[in-house]
Amino acid sequence: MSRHSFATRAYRTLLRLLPFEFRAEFGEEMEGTFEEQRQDTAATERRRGLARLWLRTIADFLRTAPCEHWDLLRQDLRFGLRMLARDRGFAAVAVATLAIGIGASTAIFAAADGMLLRPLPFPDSGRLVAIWKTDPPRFDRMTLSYEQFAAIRARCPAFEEVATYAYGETLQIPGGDVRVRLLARDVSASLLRALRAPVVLGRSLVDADERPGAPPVVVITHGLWVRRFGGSRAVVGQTLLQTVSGRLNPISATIVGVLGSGFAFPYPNPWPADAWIPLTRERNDSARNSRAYFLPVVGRLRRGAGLDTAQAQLDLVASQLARSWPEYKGEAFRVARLSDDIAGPLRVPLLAFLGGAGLLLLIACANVANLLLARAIAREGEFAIRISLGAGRLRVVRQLLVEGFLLAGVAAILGLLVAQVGVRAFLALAPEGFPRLGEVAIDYRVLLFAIGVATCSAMAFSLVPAVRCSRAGSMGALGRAAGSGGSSRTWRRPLGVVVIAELATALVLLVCGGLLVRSFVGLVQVDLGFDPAGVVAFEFNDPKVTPPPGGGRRLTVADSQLPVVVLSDGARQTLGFTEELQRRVAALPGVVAVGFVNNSALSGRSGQSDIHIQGRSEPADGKPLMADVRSASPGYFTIMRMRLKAGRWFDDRDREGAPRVAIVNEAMARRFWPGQDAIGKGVSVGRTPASRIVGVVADPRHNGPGRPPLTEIYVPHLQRPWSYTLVVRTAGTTAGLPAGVSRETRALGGAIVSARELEHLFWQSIAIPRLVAFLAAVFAVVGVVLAAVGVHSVLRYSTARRIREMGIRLALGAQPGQVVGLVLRQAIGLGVLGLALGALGAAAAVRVIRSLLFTVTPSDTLTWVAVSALLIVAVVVAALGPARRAGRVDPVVSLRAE
Amino acid sequence: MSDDSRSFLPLTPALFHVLVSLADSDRHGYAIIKDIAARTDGAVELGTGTLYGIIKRLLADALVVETRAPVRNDDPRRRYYRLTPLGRAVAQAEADRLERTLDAARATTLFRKARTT
Repeated sequence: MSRHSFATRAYRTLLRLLPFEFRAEFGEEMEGTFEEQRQDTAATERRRGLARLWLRTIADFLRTAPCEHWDLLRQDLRFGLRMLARDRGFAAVAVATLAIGIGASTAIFAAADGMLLRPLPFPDSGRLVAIWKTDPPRFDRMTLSYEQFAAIRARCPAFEEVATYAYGETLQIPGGDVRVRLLARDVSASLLRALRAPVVLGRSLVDADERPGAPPVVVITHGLWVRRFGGSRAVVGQTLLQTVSGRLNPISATIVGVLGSGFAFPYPNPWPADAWIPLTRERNDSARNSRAYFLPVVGRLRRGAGLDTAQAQLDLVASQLARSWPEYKGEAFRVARLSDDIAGPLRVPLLAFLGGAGLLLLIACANVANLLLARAIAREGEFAIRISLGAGRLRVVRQLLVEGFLLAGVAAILGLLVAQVGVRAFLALAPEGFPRLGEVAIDYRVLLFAIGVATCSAMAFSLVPAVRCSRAGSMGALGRAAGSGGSSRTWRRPLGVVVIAELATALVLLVCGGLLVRSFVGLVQVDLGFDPAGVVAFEFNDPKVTPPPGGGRRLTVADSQLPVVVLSDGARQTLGFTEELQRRVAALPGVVAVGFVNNSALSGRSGQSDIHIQGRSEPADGKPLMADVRSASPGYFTIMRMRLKAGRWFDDRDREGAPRVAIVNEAMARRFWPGQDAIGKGVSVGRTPASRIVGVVADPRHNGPGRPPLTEIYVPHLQRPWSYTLVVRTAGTTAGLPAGVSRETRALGGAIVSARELEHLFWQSIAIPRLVAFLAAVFAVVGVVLAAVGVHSVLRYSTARRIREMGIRLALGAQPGQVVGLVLRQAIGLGVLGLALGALGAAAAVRVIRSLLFTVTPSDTLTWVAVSALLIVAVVVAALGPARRAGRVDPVVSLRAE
Repeated sequence: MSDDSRSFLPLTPALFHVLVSLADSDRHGYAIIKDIAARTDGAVELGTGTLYGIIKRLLADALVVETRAPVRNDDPRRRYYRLTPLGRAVAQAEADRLERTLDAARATTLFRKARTT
């Protein structure tokens, strides 16, 4: 008996594979048939026959069940398409709304995925970190000295590996063409381990290769192996010649291994390299200098160690180093995931916009849910009749879900088109050359995200209307279907709640968008202290200095201490070159003025040097005073349209044989001579005698409008010809200028390295705030439009259901204007509730974007008031159509129809 | 042969077997399974899933109808099925189609070669 029961239970379990409707119709009969089959088989073939029967039956169900489910789904799809085709207007609005929500969130996900979420192309890259040091206000970020790197490597157990890399040397192949130079990068052995660099031949670098006295070795790249050594396995053991600074003759370095193809570092802008050599103090001058901060450091966290643990250990090492090395006092180490570090200033905006896209999608889903709910309520009668006639509730729910998924499916396809446009816009607006920008694309990960979003959206907006309609078998619903029994007010509440939530969400987007746009506008209007429009900066190399017969005159230490400037022969040659170049370029068509500077504005480069203020004792902590030193020709300041606040500009008097002079900016004058006139004061740059300050310039923001001005000191190019950037102010187009300047430079034996328009650099310096403001504005506009559509739909439905009520009011003497006012008041009521709820959300959201605001505060009153008013106006505009329709109701017609 | 019956062609082998099984008398599910197995010497053994999927389609297309049990005290779970005139016409149309296909095959060297060896 129990065996029969087990068999029956087992068969019933198999029956569950089939759709409910199929089971309901044939399940009992199938049980009976199978029981007969089983009994006959047991009688004739016994156990072996029974086993075959069960296997055959299971296989049969596994084959049949999917077909039956698919058959049912096809019916539901056909039914759903028919229903949607009957109401094309609703379908179009729903699909368009969803497509916007899905498209926006997919586009932002594509950007975030490419730049933030996708793993770096190194094994187990989630544990890779970047380490740097900071010492505000001197600097926010700086590379480390070898001393600091070695201390972290030895004393931080949270890291499995701590590694570094530097520019390195050149190599040559013995017996090869001496003009062929190979590029070698100095790296710690731990770098190749940390990055799990693949080795195809021989071995990688090991810690022993870095020890003093270790024989010089080198690991070559796959490209070099194939190119120069033909991929020969005999390459291991061969030697390369390595030049080492301070040594006359190159040394032999033995090739110990070949790396796999595709390995490149740093990521995503790898340095060109043919080989990797161990970084040792013996062969690297900077590694022996505790003040040479030239090492970027990366690490791999030990399994189970978090960033907090690593940071705590770094803090301890920093304090230990400060006790042993006074120059490290006040410096702190910082650590961050390498992927986050690479994303840099785009990390917070991308995460914020992921949240914003989520809100947009929420509004879109709420809109569609409202539309579906309203439509489902209108079809209540239809579903009541169907359920009464025997259709299962589950079938009704499934059909409505299928309709929802159909809408979401079409919206997802359109949404991908929207996402494609969004991704293109993002790439166009993002800063040029930003790390990992090339990885932003619509690929399989983004497609999966879009499918996931569409699926979740379909579930979110379909479930409530579907469940609601599945309860439609009540007499009340049947009565409503028959046209009797009066209307229920219970439909108004869920629709109203959803609209209020939409308006609240739209307010969050509006507040954030408004603040970010105002911040960007303010940023563009910041006084840079100079005018980049029409200025082109050319970086150049001067021709090799040729010493005159007899070797020429070199500067001695005594020369550098003289009260007047003395130049070496090399410096004089450079000066001669720049003066001749200036003369030739000034004669080119369209050129207004020509000057020289060492680092152009907005280039991102600065020349920090220690300075000494005459009459002021050195800082007690032993840390030198620092300033950004710029070497500028006499005409540079007027070319850049900088403003002189006191004294004079450099002129032709400030050259060799004249006393040393300098110009400082206001920030430097305020810092070192507060309340005094800086003109006439003395300041030394490095170890040179003091220069007399002859001018004070209004603070230029050389790092862009979003960063505060640096402490700056200018020295005359004619006294220190360090300036390798030619600055040209043009009148009108700059089209032919680069070719002309390049030609003139080559004619003098030099070469142009780069040419950049300063105005373009200005826009690049604010590319991230611009991108953020643009996206925020788009999100805000789309959000308020979608919310307004939601308000319009709900009010339209609401007034349609209240036709009788409107008719009675008008019949009893109400004016049409009063009826219109009734509807508008209802709309404004929704708007005010949405504002109140949204204000709470917006207050939380602005904390997230606080770091993205430059010139406004999160509580900026003007922005909050303006966007709130905008939202109410949008609500009123959305309500006008339904309100006017309500006011035009003919009381006689409406009462007769009811 | 009407256009109506031809519109159902070609039939799957399993579906054709079920129609043939119902040609001579009304049967219930297990009887159909046994009849097909007997006719094909055990080569075709329909599972209950396949059988009732076929019956569902045949009922929806009006090729078969459910009918009363021939005996009074039969298992209440049994349901009997009868071929409709349309169902009979469809079965005949399929049989004709298969016959024409076989005739075409017999006219080729396939069968002539077999006879000569």
